[in-house]
Amino acid sequence: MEINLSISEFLPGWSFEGDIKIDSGNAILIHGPNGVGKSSLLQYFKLNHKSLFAHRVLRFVDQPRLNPLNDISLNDVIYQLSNRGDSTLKLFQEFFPIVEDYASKPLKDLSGGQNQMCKIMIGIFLGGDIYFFDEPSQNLDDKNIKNFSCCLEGLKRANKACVIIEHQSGLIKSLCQKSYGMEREGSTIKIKESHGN
Amino acid sequence: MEIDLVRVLCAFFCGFGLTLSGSLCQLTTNNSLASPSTLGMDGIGVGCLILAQTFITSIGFSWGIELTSLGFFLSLFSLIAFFLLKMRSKRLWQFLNLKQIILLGLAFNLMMGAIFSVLQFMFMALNYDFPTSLWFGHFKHAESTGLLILGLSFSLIWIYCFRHSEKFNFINLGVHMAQGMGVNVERFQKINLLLALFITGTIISFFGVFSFLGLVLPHILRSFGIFKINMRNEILWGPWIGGVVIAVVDLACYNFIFYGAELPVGMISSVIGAFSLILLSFKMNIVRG
Repeated sequence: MEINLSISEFLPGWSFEGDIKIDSGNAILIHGPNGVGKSSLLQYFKLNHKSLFAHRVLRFVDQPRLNPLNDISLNDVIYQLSNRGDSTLKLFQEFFPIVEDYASKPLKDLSGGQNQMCKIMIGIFLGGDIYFFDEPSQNLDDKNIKNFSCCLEGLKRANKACVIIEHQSGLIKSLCQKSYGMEREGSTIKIKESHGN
Repeated sequence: MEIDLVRVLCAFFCGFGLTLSGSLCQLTTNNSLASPSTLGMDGIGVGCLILAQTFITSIGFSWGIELTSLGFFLSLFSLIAFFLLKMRSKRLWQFLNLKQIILLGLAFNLMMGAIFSVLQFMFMALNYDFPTSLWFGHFKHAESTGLLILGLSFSLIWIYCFRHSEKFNFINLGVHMAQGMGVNVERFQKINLLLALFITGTIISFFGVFSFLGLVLPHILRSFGIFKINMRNEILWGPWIGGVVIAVVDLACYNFIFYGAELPVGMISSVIGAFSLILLSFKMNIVRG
């Protein structure tokens, strides 16, 4: 699977220059300063998934925390949802020990980092073709950033495409095959490939 | 003990519908304070009831108030549905957040209550009959027409919920999460809120107002284990329990006459519901920031 995304406008009144190339089995990093429109770009992908990605199944792991009406835990969520018979089910079983300690606690009572890891695990459990992570390392401590990196490696091994939006470079950047930098020039948002790993 | 089957079934479908509409409002908006009463749906139903009574009194129309009120409600419902689904309401939808909608809904309900009181006063001053009993819902005039309309439409809505039950589980995890799982959240929210409005308006047209039952019943259900861990159970099996509860309360009202008068089931169930909600609020943190 190889997708070339040519976007002309994703924010009203702003033009967009540059292409994004997404390959299966690869991870790409999109970075840039605050307010440049990284999360808006993700929102644009989400709202226009049919026209941009055709029949491919997308999984988004966003910033807002899980806040269900009932006192459900990660175990309950997994019980409720069904996997697509995807190869990620094995991956989920492999990485489940990361969250096992708090998997039976109500999601409302979890810390920001634990909540973030639960969202990542739900995304992996459900399976999909392309994974989008919006600042996944936010709220995560060093140990969980390493755990997330393992998950990312696992997804790549399972031939999934991953798109990560992140401020900080470092460990996550080193796991990405491509990196795109976003910047604003007047009323134009430009995206450029900044390095090949 | 006497049993009027049509009346029992009407009460069952009323409880069924109120629980379903409450669950639809709360699950769709992912907010435990959303309900047909807090979102102003009760107010729309009451408005149609007032309009129907005024119309019947002023024109001398011979149709029953139920069908006249339903006619007004369905016309208004079609307009709202057209505006929400076809017209460009996207900007309005994004502009209003849920807290604003709840505040507007409560204000609208209060306004309708005030109009109801003013009209009641005017009708009394002019020596006209006014159906004050409709303020608290009851099943004294339950007929097979109402039963047929309620039974058929609510069953179809239940089938729709059955088909989309996984989406309710996604949306329970958060609007962003559901969007990320491929749910067209905006359209799903609009359709579900319209269905909740339809259920509420139909019940009010036939049997009067059952205030805040749509808010209370889903909370009571969620305090039991089987409904606590899976939203699919709440939306699919909760309405059946709500229906049985209202039917039993109505059966009690029908058989136990209080000082020569039958107590309206809406009043009894609202009092029981309010106490249950207070008890539940001690048990769990219902109101979250």
